[in-house]
Amino acid sequence: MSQPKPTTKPMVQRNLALFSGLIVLLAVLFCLDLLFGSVTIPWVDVLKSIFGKADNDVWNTIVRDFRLPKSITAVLAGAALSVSGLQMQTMFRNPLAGPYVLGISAGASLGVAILVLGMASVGTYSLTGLGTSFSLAGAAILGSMLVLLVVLAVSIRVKDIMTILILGMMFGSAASALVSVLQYFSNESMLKAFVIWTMGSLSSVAGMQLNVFAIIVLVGLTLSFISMRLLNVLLLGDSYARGVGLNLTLTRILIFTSTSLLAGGVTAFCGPIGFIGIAVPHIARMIFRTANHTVLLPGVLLLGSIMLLFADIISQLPGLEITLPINSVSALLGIPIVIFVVLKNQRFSGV
Amino acid sequence: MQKGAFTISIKNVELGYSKEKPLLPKFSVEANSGELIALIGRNGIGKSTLLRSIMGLQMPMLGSIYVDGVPVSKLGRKQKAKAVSFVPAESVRVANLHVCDFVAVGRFPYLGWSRTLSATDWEKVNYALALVNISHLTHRDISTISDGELQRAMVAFALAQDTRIIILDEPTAFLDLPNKFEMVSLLSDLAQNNGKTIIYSTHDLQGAIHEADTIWMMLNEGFLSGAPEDLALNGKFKQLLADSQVLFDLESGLFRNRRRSLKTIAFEGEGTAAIWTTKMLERVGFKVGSNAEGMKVTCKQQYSSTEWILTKNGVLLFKTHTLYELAQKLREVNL
Repeated sequence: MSQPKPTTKPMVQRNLALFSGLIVLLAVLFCLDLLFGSVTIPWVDVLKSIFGKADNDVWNTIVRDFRLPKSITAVLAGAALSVSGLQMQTMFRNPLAGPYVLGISAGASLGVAILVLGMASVGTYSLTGLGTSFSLAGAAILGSMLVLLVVLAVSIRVKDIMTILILGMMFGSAASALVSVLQYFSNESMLKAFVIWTMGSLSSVAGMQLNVFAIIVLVGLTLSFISMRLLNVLLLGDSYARGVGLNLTLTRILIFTSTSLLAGGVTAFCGPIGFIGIAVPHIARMIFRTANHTVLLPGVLLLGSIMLLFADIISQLPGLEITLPINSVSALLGIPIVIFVVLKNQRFSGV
Repeated sequence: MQKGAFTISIKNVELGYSKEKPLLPKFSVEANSGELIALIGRNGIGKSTLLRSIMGLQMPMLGSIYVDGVPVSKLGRKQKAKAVSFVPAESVRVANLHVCDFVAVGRFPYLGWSRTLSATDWEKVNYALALVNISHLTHRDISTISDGELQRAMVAFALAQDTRIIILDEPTAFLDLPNKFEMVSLLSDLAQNNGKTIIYSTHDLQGAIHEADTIWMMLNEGFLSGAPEDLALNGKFKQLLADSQVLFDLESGLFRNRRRSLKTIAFEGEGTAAIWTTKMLERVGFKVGSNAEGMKVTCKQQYSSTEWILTKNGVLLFKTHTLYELAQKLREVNL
């Protein structure tokens, strides 16, 4: 008599080993990320400043107020982007879908562009102020929420998922076009401020903002775990999903909301960080060799944090005085993986 | 008969997308448990629309459809999924998806809020895989199995869903000949042994005639239903093929191309070789008959080899051991 549950022991053991390995890797990279930076601080003092107080006050400030929040941000943002990437790839059954496929980052950019470029040209907004990054985040959240609401309204009425995808992309392109118009009419310094925002940064999230960011990401991740098993149904396509009685509209709303919180939250606080969200789900599928989301989702979450921590370490390698923009590093890391995936299954069949 | 005696009861249904131009006239039909029904009809006649209506995914313009005596429109999403399962035409080619994980999704309507499968659920999954003879593929990646195996996995999905009615949209479309045959006889077994009502749409008339208990035929003139043999005897297949180049041969139960026979040729021969020679002659444009213009084919069987001789007015034109060469020669002569 065969076992009722057809998961073999070797498979379970393999997954357990992989998860343990990833958790250890995450811990190691987190420590390395704290250790590296433009100022060299011995690891003993790094530990001291976290758990007690180091002898050097400057080191204390650097580790506690800059490096620790930045590493936590990297962990949260990496997980958020990758989980929303997985959701979008499954939902649209497209290996090249990512967190921004619904136009969320374009919406966020529009919000920021209106704030930085639009307001500045009227002369009511200054880039030097305490609330600056908070209002940037607020504008970005408003922008991505606007796109989300339009997409949700469409998805309640439109049944075909590809139509929703195309409309989402069109809304995104429209938002980008509006951003270009705003850029055209803005002055040089404002333009530079906007361009720097688009390069992304993990270091502008600290204190109160980190709390807000963490709450947004945790709510988004909770929703993604609630919809985890629904993704297994969606993966088979809409005909199967309807056939087994899945409430498609409700499922879509749940997943779109989760994705917008995750991708919109990251874009709001760190700027648009590309390619992590597309690449990580593919890495997870390769190493876990499954399409089951109860395994993939936690795997993608861990791998996403690992990837962004790794990108952050590279962006400020010891010995380098300067810090590279995180968006460029993540793209340079992610693009080879996407190219590999595209070449590997040239048929583009499913995810 | 009273209401509820049938698993599916379609009453005065009109299908289509505009009231002025329905796809076909109003019709009523019933389906019992243990019945394998083949739904046939030309492209665009509304086969998918009918299937979707039975599943309750689309409302017919007029009339209503009852499943076990209850109107489909009154059933909730989950209730529908427990009554009718659907195997779509599109194949599932998701990389890294294990066959058992795929079939397990069929248990979705029975899962509680946590959506986790119990031991009983997994037993049903295993049982479904065993019923379609693919237990050995349980842990295989679904994107790497053959088309025939995939179609079986898709049937297992419907079996795991544990419904009285199974609807399949062209389950044999992408299969080779042996697989086509095996798929339809598998469906026939499932209907008979497990008491399922199975409706499948198909363009494979030949398979439907040999395996299905009932044929539902959708024609522009109306809806027909009956045993395949009844439909054949009543000349209904002719109606289906009315404006096409295909003929239904009532004696062999086979379909063949309607050909214009241009010339008559005399033929002499016996046995299986004679049947196949006649087939070839028709294909190249000759009709066998006595009123020949001097042309004659003689088929001689000696031990294991067969020889064909072509003569004109008694004069030998050609001798060969293959019908291929004879066909070539005849085309030449015909020109």
